Amino acid sequence: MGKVDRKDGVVRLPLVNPANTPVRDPLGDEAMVDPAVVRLAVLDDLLNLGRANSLWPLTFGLACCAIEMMAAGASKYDMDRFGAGVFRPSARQADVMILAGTISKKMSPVIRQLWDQMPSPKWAIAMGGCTIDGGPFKYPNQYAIEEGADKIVPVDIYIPGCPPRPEALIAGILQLKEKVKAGRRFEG
Amino acid sequence: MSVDLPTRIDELSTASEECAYEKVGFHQRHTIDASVLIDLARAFFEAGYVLEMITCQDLRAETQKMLLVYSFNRLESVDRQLLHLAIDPDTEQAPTLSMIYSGANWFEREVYDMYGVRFSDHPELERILLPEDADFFALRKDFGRMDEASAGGDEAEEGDDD
Amino acid sequence: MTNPPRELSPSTEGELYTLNMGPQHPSMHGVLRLVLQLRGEQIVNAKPVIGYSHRAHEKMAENRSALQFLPNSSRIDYLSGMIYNLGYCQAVEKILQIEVPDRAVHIRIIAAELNRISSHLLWFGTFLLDLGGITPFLYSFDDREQILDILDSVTGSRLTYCYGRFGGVTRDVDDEFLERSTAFIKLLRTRLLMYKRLVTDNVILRERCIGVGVISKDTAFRFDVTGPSLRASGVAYDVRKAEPYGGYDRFDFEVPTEEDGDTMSRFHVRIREIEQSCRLIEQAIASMPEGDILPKKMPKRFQIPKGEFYFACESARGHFGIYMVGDGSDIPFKMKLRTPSFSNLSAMPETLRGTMLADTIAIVGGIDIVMPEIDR
Repeated sequence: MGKVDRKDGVVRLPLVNPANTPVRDPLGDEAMVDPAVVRLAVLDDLLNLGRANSLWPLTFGLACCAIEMMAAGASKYDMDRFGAGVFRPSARQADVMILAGTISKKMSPVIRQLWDQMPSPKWAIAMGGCTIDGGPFKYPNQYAIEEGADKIVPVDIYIPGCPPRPEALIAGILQLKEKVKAGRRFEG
Repeated sequence: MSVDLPTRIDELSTASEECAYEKVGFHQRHTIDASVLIDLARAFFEAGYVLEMITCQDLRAETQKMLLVYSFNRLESVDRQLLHLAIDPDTEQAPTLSMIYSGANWFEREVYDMYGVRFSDHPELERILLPEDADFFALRKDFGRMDEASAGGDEAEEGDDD
Repeated sequence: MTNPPRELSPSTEGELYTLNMGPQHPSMHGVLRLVLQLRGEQIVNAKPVIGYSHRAHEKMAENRSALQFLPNSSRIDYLSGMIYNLGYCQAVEKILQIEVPDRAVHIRIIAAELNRISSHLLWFGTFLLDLGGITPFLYSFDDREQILDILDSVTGSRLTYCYGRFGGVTRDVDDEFLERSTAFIKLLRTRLLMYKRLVTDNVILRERCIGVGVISKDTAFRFDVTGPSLRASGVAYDVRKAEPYGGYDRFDFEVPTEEDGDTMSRFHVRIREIEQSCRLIEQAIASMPEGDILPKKMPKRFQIPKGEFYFACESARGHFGIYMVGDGSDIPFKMKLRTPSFSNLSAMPETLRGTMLADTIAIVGGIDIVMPEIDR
């Protein structure tokens, strides 16, 4: 049994967090923590560990970055090594949305619908310049694209590049794993 | 094929111009009226030409007209012929070629989508690239120019009154 | 041996219903949406809905100078980005009458053909993935990664290359690049033999492709289908032969054709095109001259003269045309990008009519579309 830290109400297993660095709740709402949650925290940590190591991304390519996403899943880079190679064709089975490519105004309602279809807990990775702020297609009076994925879904990880190399996507996945392990996520 | 193509073009076009293929990439350019477009396209079709593209130039600033550009080419040996057809988008419609060249269907939809030029008798003249509820014609010169952006830049998203 | 089109008796019984595929669908190659009207499992009517990846390339071209548009060019079709990038350079060179040094011509052909092979390899992998075979995907990506490494070493990018400059290329290639390219082609030839044993002779693939999705010569003509899809219908049209550009007329290569126009023919045409690209690269390496990679005399500003211009080149998917109108300033008055997949996809409603729902994946996958290239 790990040491119970009453301050943030999370039970720490040495395996999970050897440095025992304090991890804050992303919502910063300490009033949420009550004894019942503290008792469940071990299970939560285990669940988060499981979630972090079996991320199921949605098979969903928008443009150029999708090819690098495929390359990251294929033989040379092999995202399966990090448990994130099980691309699901249906939003109902996925828990990570990798937004790979330019988001056009025509596409943005579709993306929102897909996001709403994904079961919680879920995370979003904005891959490439277009999903960060419009990237190379951003210019004053641009009529066609949505300048940034965060206008549509809450984004957890941003990966810069045009397109980012597969290594960069893998680095992003690893970052997301840390975030998932610590139990941080946006609700809804 | 009763009459050969060059004769037919001479009959129908208002003006023809020989162009240096090495410099500009096409052989001839013809200016025509909307009334002869279908006859001329049929002549091209029968002579074994494909319709490579239909596009448009917004010349309303100078001539109050949109200039439709049709490009025909022969697959066996290159012979690219451009047709120019000036049209007023507010009062006139161009005849559709989708009955002769099926590929014209999408090209014409794109021209409508981007320039607001209408084509008469087109089977499904609706938006193709922009969302169905778009209220602007994106490639018109008076819409969304980069240099007309407000100083704020990022928020200048609203369309023109087109 | 000819592959007769599969006879399907049109069903008239049962209710008509509508099925929506996409824009998020694992086999729709990006963001294509197909609205299918079905009777039973037979397609009565198919309507592609496009524009989900419209990025306003043409509007950007009218708002930027010709040089500023250069990085956009490879993002139009990111699978053959090098061909588009160099094609755009060649269009501007034609307009401004810039002479390209011999060495740059050779480097361009090597780069473009390597890119064409990588595009076909990616199609090979994903097409078979669509049909349910994951192993060829892993093999073809392995080969493709080697091409990307080779191009990466000289261009600095893996996908959206900006290697061309008006008049030449950015960086000279070294001997190591040429050696690696030669070694890769040698390897690819053995891999192609393996693919033939593993895939092409596979009875499941043949059953799913032979006679499926026939595009007749007449249909291809009316829709101006180009590229491998046209050559699979028996028309030997290749822009590299029909209107030679960029020095292709100095090299010896064939235009592979097949007669049947079905998905299997398109498969064969692409595989045979890989072999032809290998030949082109070998010739370009063997005759690689020494010299400059950029012309000595260059205009200071790239002003598009008054008038209209058309330039065509052969991308991995067909005839890519750039129609440019200039008004004497740096910024083009108008640029139309005539992209091959747009026309190829427009022929789909006619091709899909009367086929079975399960064949849709094979047919749409077989014509090899890239959505941002269609939507621009």
